Amino acid sequence: MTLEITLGPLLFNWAAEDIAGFYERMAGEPLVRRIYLGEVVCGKREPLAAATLPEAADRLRDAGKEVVWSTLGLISSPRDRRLLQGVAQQDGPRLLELNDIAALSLLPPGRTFIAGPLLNIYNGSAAQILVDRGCERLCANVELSLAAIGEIHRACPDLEIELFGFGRLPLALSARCHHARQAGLSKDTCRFVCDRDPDGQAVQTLEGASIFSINGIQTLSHGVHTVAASPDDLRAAGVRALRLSPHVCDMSAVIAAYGRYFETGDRGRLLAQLRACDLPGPLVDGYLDGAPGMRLAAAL
Amino acid sequence: MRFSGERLPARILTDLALALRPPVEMLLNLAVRRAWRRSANAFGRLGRFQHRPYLIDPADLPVAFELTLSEDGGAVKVVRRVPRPNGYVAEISGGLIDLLALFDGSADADATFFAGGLTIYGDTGAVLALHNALEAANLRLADLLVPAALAPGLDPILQRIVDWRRATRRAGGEPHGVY
Amino acid sequence: MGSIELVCPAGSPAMLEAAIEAGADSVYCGLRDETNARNFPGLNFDASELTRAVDFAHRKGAKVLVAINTFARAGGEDRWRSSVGAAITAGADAIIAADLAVLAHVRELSPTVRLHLSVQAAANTPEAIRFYVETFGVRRVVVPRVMSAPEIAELIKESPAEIEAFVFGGLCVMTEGRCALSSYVSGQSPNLSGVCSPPEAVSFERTAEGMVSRLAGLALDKTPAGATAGYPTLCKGRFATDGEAAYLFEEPTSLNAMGLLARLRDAGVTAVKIEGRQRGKAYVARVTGAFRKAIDALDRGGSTAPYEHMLTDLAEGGRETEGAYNRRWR
Repeated sequence: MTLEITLGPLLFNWAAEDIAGFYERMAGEPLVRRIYLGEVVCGKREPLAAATLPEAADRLRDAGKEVVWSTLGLISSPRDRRLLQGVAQQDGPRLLELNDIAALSLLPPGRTFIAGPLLNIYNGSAAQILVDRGCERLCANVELSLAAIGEIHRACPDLEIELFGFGRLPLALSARCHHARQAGLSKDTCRFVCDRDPDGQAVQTLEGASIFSINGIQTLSHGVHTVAASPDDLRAAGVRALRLSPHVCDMSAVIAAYGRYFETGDRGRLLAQLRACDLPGPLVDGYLDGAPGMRLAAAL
Repeated sequence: MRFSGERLPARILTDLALALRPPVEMLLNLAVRRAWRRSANAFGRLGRFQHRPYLIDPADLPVAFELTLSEDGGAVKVVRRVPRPNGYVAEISGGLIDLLALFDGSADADATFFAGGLTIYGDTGAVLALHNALEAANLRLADLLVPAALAPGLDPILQRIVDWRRATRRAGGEPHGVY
Repeated sequence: MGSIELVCPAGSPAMLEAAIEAGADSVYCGLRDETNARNFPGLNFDASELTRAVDFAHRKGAKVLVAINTFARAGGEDRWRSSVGAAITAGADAIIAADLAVLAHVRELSPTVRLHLSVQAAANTPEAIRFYVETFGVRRVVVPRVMSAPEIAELIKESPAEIEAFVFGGLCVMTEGRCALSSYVSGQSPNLSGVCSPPEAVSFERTAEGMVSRLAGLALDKTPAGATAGYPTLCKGRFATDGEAAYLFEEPTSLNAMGLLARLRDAGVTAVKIEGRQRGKAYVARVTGAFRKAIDALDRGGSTAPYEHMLTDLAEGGRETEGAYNRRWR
């Protein structure tokens, strides 16, 4: 069984024309079967792409892609709640990825869903509770090691597992907006300054070590997480699909590199090809081994 | 309370203190045993730091103390201030009063732990464990290192000095301009 | 008990006794392992200490809430099951949990024991609360420290469970249970291992410019010698963006919402909570005592003002904030 490549929801505040252009290119990527759309970081941003994303969805569906709507990771205002209600209770075959447990009490009974990486599912028993409520696929929380994911797979063998495979890691959400704070603004009057940093803004320690990046209310890693475990090990842990998180770099090249990796298993070549993609940070992969997430990926 | 180390070469003072080691260690070990009996299983809270030596190094004394505790008891040795061949799990140095304040159980842990003139080498977790274990057992460092037998009546004086030191800290120890 | 239940931290039996003697209505504590979110060396209770603590509390008319509020490790769920068993056997008045697996297991073992939803579950909407109430019979929800007072008041109008809110102590800048900063740097985090900034990865270095605190070797902050500082965590560190250094996420401050007690009570908050199981009995005695006086004053129709500045020296960096409760924070 070949591993599937999916494209995760865009985490950053890109201009509408950039979003449209990006998904236009992705519509032409034969290796990508499934694409997640929707604002998952900040409810305030949602209206910005409200017109662009449905058009992108139509274009992607026309190109034969499966489109999934991802919901907000942190529901924090009445508007967020109404938005979630609207998405969750919509009829029809629309696939949904839930990133806040609140959505579960809104879904009509029998409605299937995908559990997103921002839900706290850390073990098989918790995953089983979601499966019993209609969860078909789990995108594992980024902190989980491949061994832990294997345990979840053993407990829920029919649950499809997707792995956050490439991109800056979504590490934390906050009530306050780091971009606004840094610009001397408040969250409520933020002027959407997060649009200055389409890959997030790099954060250094006082000694100059790059460590995180900020993206509105979200904190991501500075390093670019990359899954380069052997395709056999991934399959043995129940992984069906690898999720690539959109960045400014040439995503077509990233997709191509993973496509070749799934055929050849050549880890050194994968890392070399990714490093040639003008990434926003160094390649890291510690979480998969239960190590600090910022550990640098090494070609074996 | 202050040793006038400036008057005599430090080494002579150290040699002198070490010459007195056997009776001092005997008293210290009595104190540790008493503390251990008084609070069953308190030292067991050290978990993986049991049987591992801590160096308690009061900068104003000519010697330092090596403290090893476990759920079966504990021991204190008077030692020279030199590196130990196998190392200590943690070395805590600073003024005697600061050291006693760190472990005296009457102040907020975070506030005492991170304020003032203490230096911690080695595993911060080990220092936290020692702090939490003594705190949980209602023990103070003074119960281990200042045997009451040696100086009855010393306790209230020590406490007063620690309190005074804390009060002056509080008054003058507000955060500096960086905040 | 007054109009608001006062819930206080206990990192050890000595601290539990100190909290109750100082006027706590309830204390919360955890077992000595990774099943609770204050898994620090030397802290917490073993099963027999917990049993004795519950007996002590009940004799004094206080309740014991046992936190089993981390996420069970895949393949290691038995440890969390045994903690649930120990809490029920000890006679805990409630279990505080966040993980779906732990919540379900509590219900398997006891259909009646009270379940409180830990702040680590970050349930901040009526929809989220309804899920936990309908699925597990959760009776109380500890709301995240990211909510403002008006938001809590709105939430209570629609909440099918009691609401407990933090009023004093350390302040997570990130939404609780949704933060992996610590594991990214150190390999351990609240969700994974019950600890943030694991002490064995923390070190301090004295330099000419002052003390540098580090996590896994990375500098978190430099403070002048003698300055007070809190426990070093990434979210309270000083970092640079565009070459300018600042407390990017949050100043080293801590929460003191005593001045909002009346508003929280009027909004319908059932219980208020003090953070700080790791901070010892001196801390808990002082904070509990001050909040006891403040709540009693409110219940007599008086003001909390005389007690509001009694605790400033306990705050991180000596600074207090009303946190998100006060909209200015946003």
